[in-house]
Amino acid sequence: MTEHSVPASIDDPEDLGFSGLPFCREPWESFYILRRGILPCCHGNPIIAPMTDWEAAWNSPPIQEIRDHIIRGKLSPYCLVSLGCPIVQRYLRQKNKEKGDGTILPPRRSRILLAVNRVLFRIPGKIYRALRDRRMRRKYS
Amino acid sequence: MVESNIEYGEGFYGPEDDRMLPFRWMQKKASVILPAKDIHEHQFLSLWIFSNFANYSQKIALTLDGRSLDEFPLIFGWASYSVHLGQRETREKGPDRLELTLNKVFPAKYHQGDGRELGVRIGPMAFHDDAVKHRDAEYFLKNAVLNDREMRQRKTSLESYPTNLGVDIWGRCNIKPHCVYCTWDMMKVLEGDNVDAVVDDRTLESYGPFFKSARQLVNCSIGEPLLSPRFEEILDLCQRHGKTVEIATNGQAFTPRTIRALAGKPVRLYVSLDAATKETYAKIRNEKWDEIVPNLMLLNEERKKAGNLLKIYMVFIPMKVNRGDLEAYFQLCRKIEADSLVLRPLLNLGNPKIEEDRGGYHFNYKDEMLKWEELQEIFRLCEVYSKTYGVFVYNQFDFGLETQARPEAS
Repeated sequence: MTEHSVPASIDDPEDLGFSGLPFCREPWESFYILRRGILPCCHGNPIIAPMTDWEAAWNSPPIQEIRDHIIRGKLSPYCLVSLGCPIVQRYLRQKNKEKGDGTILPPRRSRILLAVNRVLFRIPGKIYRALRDRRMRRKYS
Repeated sequence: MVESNIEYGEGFYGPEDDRMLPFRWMQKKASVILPAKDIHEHQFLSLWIFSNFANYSQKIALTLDGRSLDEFPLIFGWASYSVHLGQRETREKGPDRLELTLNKVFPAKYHQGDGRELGVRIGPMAFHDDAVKHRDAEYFLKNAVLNDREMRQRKTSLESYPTNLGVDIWGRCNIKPHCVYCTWDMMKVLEGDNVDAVVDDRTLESYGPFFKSARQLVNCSIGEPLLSPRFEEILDLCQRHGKTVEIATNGQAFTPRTIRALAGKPVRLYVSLDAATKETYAKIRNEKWDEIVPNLMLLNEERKKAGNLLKIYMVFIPMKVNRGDLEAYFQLCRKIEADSLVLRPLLNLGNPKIEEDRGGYHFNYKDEMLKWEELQEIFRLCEVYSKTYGVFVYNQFDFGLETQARPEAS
């Protein structure tokens, strides 16, 4: 095992190397090739590419955008909708606490729209979600 | 792979176990006596090493009877390395003393209760003659170093590949109707025609650098991976290449075939029960509780016979439906000698419309999510029960807390 170059800036023998790391390492260290599509981390949602495009997806614009935000110490728009992520949850909890709001759920939709959706066999909701997902896929493809 | 009868010499402490691998701490310098027969017959030595440094600044140098073999940086945590023992003709006289030297030790301020000089943990060693495995191990380490450097250099377009690869072994499930909190229907719509796409050992190899660069493979199927007809071959492939595998199972697919495949493999098996009683289990999954615990006990026996490489992590997603089962879940973990109880968050889906009547209980996803204050009480209880029952708790709510950095306002 030869030819390994390690950053030369590591001088302090007491430093275990955790300083200087971004608040989330997933988009560099992890990559998910799943039947439902490609995800940048296990908490990611929605998919960023179809399953078959795994090779191109690794350095694709959506992942680079996520990395770019994290480098700047911020959560990307993609991360902010990935509500399953504990880092996002902590961030939202803190934000909502500052606003005096204890909930971390997104605002509820109008009761009238919910009633209309239910009366129409929830078809409008399905159409809305399909269009939203298509828009997201187009944005990231 | 040939397990070796290694004689630990100066610089090594006694045997220990860290819930992942059996190991010995070594000091800054240590030596082992390798059987001359194995050195003559084999080309490579594979060894597991655990480093506490996350920046690849800790290095190890190996010499065999005074002849330098290799020097390389160490990855944080456990990783498998492969060392070329040198040309056969130079080894025929029977050099058998392998010296390991570190450039620095684990700083004493991080282990103040332990006054020993601690360098790294040395896990199992074995001889092999698989040149491909050796090349892959070299490739893996080189990539891991590059990946870390690119991350610290804040690069967004990477030449390196990920060190954790998420895979999707099997798209079908044996629990029908699916578990009450599973987003099965939604996921299967997303999967479309890929539901039955073949993902087996050959598929994993076809991922090329993505597979070779991975230290661990994490299965994220919406399905039961133990049902894969190539399950054993997948685990064999990963073991051959020194990769650990993370798999979540519902615990209802244990058969002689799957237990045989799992025992003796470096697998972290997450068993998702979320219940400690038949009644609660029926509210979340189905009536098949009675066969699960005996199968887990059998799995525990088999893994112990096979060297304890398989780790059993018992998953508990705290919800309204199961919070009364918490203490009993600790007792269950102790009974089956689980390595850890894993607290996992119920996925925040925003405003989910998931409702189900099961086991005489109306499960409404939105209402099942506990408030943060309620979760904190669960964490507190876990600390108490962890001490009472001697069960380690791994809290996945803490994901991302190992670094000091926190996201700023976007």
